[in-house]
This record gives sequence, structure tokens and C-alpha cells, in this order.
Amino acid sequence: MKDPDTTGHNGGGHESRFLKAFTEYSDALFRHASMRISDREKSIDLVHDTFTKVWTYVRNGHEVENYRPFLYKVLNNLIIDEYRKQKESSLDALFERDGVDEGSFPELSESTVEALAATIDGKQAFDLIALLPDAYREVLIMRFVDGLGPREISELVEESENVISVRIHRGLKILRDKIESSAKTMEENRLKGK
Amino acid sequence: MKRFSEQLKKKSESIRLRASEKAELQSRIVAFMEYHPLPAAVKATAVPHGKTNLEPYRLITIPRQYLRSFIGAMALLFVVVVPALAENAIPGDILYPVKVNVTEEIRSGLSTNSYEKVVWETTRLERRVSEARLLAQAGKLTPAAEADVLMAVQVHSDKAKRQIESLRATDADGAALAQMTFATMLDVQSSVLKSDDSASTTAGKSTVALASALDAGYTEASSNNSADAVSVVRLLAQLEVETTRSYELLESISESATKQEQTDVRRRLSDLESKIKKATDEATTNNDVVKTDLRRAWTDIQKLISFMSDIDVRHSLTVENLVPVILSDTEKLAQSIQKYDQANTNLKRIRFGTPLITETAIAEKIELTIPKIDMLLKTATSSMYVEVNEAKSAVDEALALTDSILSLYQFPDLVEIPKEDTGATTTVPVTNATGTATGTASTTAL
Repeated sequence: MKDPDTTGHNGGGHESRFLKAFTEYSDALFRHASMRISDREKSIDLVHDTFTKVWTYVRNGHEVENYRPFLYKVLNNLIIDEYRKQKESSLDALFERDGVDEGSFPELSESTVEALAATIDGKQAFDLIALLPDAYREVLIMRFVDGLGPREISELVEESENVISVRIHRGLKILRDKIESSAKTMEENRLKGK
Repeated sequence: MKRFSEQLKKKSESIRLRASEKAELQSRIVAFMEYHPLPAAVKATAVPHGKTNLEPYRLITIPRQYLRSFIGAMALLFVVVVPALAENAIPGDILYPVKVNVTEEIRSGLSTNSYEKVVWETTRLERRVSEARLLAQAGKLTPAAEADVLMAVQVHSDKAKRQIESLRATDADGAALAQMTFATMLDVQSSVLKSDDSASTTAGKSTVALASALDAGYTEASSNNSADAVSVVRLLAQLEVETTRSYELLESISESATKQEQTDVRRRLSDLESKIKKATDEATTNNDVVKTDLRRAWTDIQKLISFMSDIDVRHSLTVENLVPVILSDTEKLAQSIQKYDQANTNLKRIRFGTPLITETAIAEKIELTIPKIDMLLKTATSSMYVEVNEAKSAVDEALALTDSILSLYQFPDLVEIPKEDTGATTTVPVTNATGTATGTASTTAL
């Protein structure tokens, strides 16, 4: 998908396209980062670093045909770097810790994901999404908050579409379990209170 | 899923950069771009998708919060600042077309009736003349520039005439008043130009052609008989309005005009009020004379308004030039007595000095004139307290003749010496170092 709003201008076109991309996507990138790392100041820094890296890329003579996925890609890499700095281990370690056997899930269709998502309350999901392992949080945010399709996500995280679909499905299941668990805990607390 | 996605997205939209954070972030990134500018080689490359640098249109995004300020600033610039700056523009300035074609035309459109339109066109004509004077003072009134001014004057003049004719169909009195005002303005402006031109006749400074055009316009406007059509009632009403306006103008120039100018104007206004009152009292008895007097009062008051409202007129002419003072009978008497004394003294000098003149032709002319002067002074003496105007006329003529004779020859001055026995005085000529009273004849003929 091309980015018609940020393409093609006259002299100074590179600068104007870049600044236009900032105007259009800085909020979305910040939202994405903020939901991934739950640190406002750090999220702002990551967005800043994203744009400076992209600018450097442009300075080096590369062309950015479509800013949106490129910016997400850079931001995503920076977020992963941030996790590593926090010694959260690698993605593989995360999966292992959560007992996720990537790729073992049966083939999923979009309708299967839809059916699962329909059973989850979006407002509660927003409150609990931060509790998910980042691999799931990442794809769920990309899919349901940033509005990216499975193909775009697969390009960003450099996984196959199938893996992304599995991850989204599992992420939703975990999210639903956490919501149910949370509701159960609240109910128990309420009963204890009586 | 749609509901889940919508709910999640809606909740997440509460997460966004604050305006201050976004501005700060943007300034950091822009600063980074400035410190790391694109290399020339990269800059020269076309942006993706083969878009060229020749695109005729470009979308400029102005943040909504700045848009109102931007529009306000633009409105202020074009509605207030530019017209205000243009007001002082003269031909050749970049803003002059704004002044003539925009500001003045808009103001013209704001005039609600034909009378106001005539007044405004008259004012515009005054402005053109004033601009011509400024150019002349700067030595920039070239023949081409003068031709432009003449053209503009002609345009405003034609417009004023058209409006007067238009007004005549609905308001004959108003048209007559407008006609008189227009003629008066042409007369005043012509006088101003002649005053300037008498001092400068070099190339680029002469306004002879413009003055001639104004004179011609004045002759045409003043010869129009339509002024006779105005009714006394309308004249009186309009004079009342203009008198009030004049006093307001007088107040407004209290700091810019000299004390003498203000005194002179106040005196003329007082004279005009007396004249108007007299005309009002006589309105029913001699309508034609009254109308003539009131029309003259109208012309005079327009000249005074021009004097007060146009700084150029004030710098070039005196109040006396425009509106000679109207003396009361008492003032005329006092002035006549003073002039009579002066004429008498002059005559004594002439009588003493004439025998000293060696040029026979001059002496004979003087001898022939002295009886006439005697006669005029005698007439003045007899009518001084009976018919002051007649006395004044005789004294003025006598004084003029004596002044003329005195300019022909350097007559010795006279001094009065008291007689020791009677206490009376006798007049003797002032002598030079050698004790002789001598004079020098002028070559000017009497």
C-alpha cells in the first residue's frame, strides 16, 4: 500500500514529506509505543529516535516510498531493543517463559479470529493488554489499535502471515482468559467482602 | 470483532501526545534535521513516484489553531495596514494604485447620496493637486507626471460634474450648492498652485499647466447659472451646518495652526455670521441681494474650510488672501482716519520736496496731482462721520497717489519742531550732514 499523502513534492520535497509524516503519524506511533512499554517519557523518546533514524536513512540517499509501515518497522525494532536493554530477554525467551509453542496451532482463518474477538470486551481488554507477553501485545496492538493487516504485520515483525495469525489468535485467548480471571477474582473479592 | 476492535481503539485513542509534547518533539526533530541537512546530491533527487518539481499546485497544511490567527493577521494587513500606508503614497509609489483604485473607490462607494459623492470627488481632486505639489516640490513633476495628474484631475472633475447633473434631477438646491463648492475648490487650489509656482518655475517643479487647467475649470463651474437656482432657505440651512463644521475644524487645528491664523479664521467666521444674520433679517425684502450675499458667504466659508482642512492651503496662502476681512463701520472709520493722517503727512513731504526736484517733467506731473490729492482728502474730511464708505474710498485713493509720488523721488523726511512762543509745532525737512535737504528722482514715471 502506498502512502499518497506523503509522496511527491517539489523542491524541498524530502523535508516536506518527512515533516508531513511526522504530523500524521507521530500520535499513532506514540500510542503504539506507549501501549507496548507503558512509559510515557520513554515512548516519546522512542518516537523521536524513530524519526531521527528515518531521517538519517533518507540522508543516506535511500528512498522511503511509504512512510507509515517504515516508521512502524523502525519503532518496533527500537521497542525490541528497549526490551533487551531491560533484560527482558529475547522474544524466544518470552515465548518459552509463557509456554508458547509457536507454530503448533492449527491453521487459522480471519473468521476464527473474529469469532474469538467477538467474545471479548474491548474496554476490559484495553486495561489488561499490558499484562500480555510483548509478542502478543505487539501483534494485537498492531492489528486492533493501529489497524494494520496481517500481511503488514508480518512484514514488520518479519514473520509469516500464518505465524502472525496464530499469534493474534493466541493473544486474544490469553486476553480473554485474563479478563475472565480478573472478573473471577473481583467476584471472589466481592463475596469475601460480604 | 468489530465491536471489540472499536472499543479497544476508542479507548486507546485517549493515549496521544499532548500539544506541548508534540511541539517539543517536533522542534527536536526539526533541529536534528537542521544539524543533519540533506546532502546536495540527495536534495537534487526527485521524490518517489516520479513527481516532478513542476507541479503547479501544492497543498499547504496550516494547523487549525493557527488558521484563525493567520486569517486575522491577513485581514488586518489588507484592510488596515496597507490602506493606511497607501494614504501617503504619491504617484510613482508602489502603493499609489492601492490608494487611488482601491481605498478611494471603496470610500466613494460608501457615499450614500449624490451630494456626498460630489464632495468626495472634489476631495479627490484636491488630493491629486496636493500630490502634484509634492512632486513639484521634489522636482519630480515631469511633463509625463503632470499629464497623468491632469488626466486624473479631469476624471474627478467629470465625475463631480456628472454627479451634480444627477443631483439636479432630484435636488436642484443641493446641486447648486455642490456646484459652488466645486468651483470654490478649483479657485482655492489654483491659487495655491500659483503661489507655489511663483517661487519655482524650473523644470520638474512648475505647475503652470495644472493651475491653468484648474482656472479653466473654475471659470466653467462659476459661470454656470445653476447656482442662482438655490433657495434662500436652503442656503441658510446649509450655511448653518457649514458654520458649525467650521468651528469644529477651528477647534481641531488649535495645535497645528498659529495663533494669528486662528484669530484670523475666527474673525472671518464672525464676519460671516454677521453677514448671514443680516441677510436673514432682510430675507423677505430684497431676495436677490440677500441671495447674492449668502452665495458669497457660502463661497467664503468653503474657502475657510479648505484653509483649515488642507495643510497645503494653509502653508501657501493667508486667510486674507482667501477671504478678505469685512470691516465694521467703526473699524472702517478708525482705519480711514489713520490712512488720512498718513496721506496728509505724505502730502506735506511732497510739498516740501517737490521744489527740490530737478527733473522738470516729474515735477510737473507731481504739481498736477497735488490738487487731486487735496480734493480727495477734503472729500474724506467732509464725509468721514457721515458716509464712512465714501470717506474710506477717498482716503484709499489719496494714500495710493501719495505713495506713488513718493516712489518717484527720494523726498526728505519731515520732523515736527515745537514753536517756543506758542507751543504749536512746525514741520521741517530732515537735513543731511551738510545741512541741505536733498533727494533723488526715480526713473519710474508717475
